[in-house]
Amino acid sequence: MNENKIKLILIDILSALFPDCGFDKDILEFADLMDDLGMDSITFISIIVKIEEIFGIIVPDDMLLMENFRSVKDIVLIVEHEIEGKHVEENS
Amino acid sequence: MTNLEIMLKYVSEHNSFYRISEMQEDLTLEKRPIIDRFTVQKLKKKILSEEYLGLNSRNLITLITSGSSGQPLRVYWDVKDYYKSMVCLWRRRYLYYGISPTSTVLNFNYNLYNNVSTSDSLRYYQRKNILSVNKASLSNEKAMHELVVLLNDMNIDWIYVQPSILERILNYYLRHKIEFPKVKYIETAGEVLSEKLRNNILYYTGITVTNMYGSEEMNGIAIECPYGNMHVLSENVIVECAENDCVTQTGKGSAIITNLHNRAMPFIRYNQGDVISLSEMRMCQCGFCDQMITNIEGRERTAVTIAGKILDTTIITEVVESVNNLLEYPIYLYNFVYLLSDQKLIGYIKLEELYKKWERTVSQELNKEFKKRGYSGLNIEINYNDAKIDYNKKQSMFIVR
Repeated sequence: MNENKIKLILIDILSALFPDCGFDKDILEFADLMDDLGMDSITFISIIVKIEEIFGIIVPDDMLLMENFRSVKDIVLIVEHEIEGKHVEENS
Repeated sequence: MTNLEIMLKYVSEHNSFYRISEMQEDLTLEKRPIIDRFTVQKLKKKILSEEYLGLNSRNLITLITSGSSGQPLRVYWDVKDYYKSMVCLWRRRYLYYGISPTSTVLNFNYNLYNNVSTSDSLRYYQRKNILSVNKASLSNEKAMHELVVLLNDMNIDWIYVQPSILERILNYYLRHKIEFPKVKYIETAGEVLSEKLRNNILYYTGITVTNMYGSEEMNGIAIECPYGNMHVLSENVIVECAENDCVTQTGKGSAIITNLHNRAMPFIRYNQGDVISLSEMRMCQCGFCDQMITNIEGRERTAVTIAGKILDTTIITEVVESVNNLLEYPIYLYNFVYLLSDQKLIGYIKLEELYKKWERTVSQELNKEFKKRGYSGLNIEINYNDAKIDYNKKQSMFIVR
């Protein structure tokens, strides 16, 4: 799955989780999830469980910090890293 | 390193209580002693890891547990570790049942919510997708009616509830011939779920109840999958069982649990106070391979109705917690007995050493708190004779005789 596709899916997830944030989808990717969207523990955990289910990954414990999920770019990097790690494991 | 090895390495380096010199290099549980609530209560903040001593409440989440044991305990979590621990439970809720933290939920707790004018009214708080109800306020018909009205107006996805409260709510709906709210999911926790209640909920509402076993000390310990098997949340805890000082990975005995995330206040081989039956790891139709908990025996919940109001462990726990919060935790242990013949409630209280001379103040405040909740006619006697405290923690802290 390429970076762009991950990003589009992620933006859809975030639009659904922050419906009243005042950000259009095309600028959501530049928002700070904590400062601009008000991400709290509820939405943070919701993001985790949804990306794990949709992308078929498990976010490692040491990455489970809100600070690591401040932007779409941050989350895309995490998802890509875990998908890649999963492929390496499956092929070895 | 596994999560267990990471936790044991952490406590050996950062926690003076768990730092046992001959075990510095031992990253297994085998030789570690079992601790219980008495030990943790006595230690107070000495069980906190060094980097968390002196930290204020902004960095730590504080949970208070007492429930049916009559032993108040404050549990501290680093916010980050608390999220990691909660994610373990939410993963299963989402994968099994499609429930996420943003699903609309009705839950029950001891938070006071002073949004009402009379002691008979429902105390609740609504924020975003969460409707939180003070469970002690559900002790009379008026409050139950208010809950029904609230639920009619809201579209609740799921209910998180103790079995005794669920039973009370179901009985109210049945008695008044009202249709039970159409929710997707009901999860029970905090008490033993009887097959009778499970079957009644299914029969009258069509909803299959899911049982979750957890605690403030551990967060989620195990949860039932859609196939009815109670899976240990092995990403969050290690569960063993002990009988006669012999700890095993399978069998029946006291639940001995190690939390894999709480660095602030680690619980390593902690006797949770329940008796469980634990199987070896096995594959389930749900797709997960875990140890299963096949039976849980907890303390019985007792209740008595006085002048139309229910008096049970939830009320008593809330009253004691209110006094403890007000007076900085003088009450160390408690048992309450309601004598039907004398229509009298007797509280057996053990105070902390520091508060030994506060008996009169504590009694006054306990009486005030019962009165605030509408039990003004209740005949209450408070007894500070230590010898009368029931240290047999196998029975509930509230008994009716």
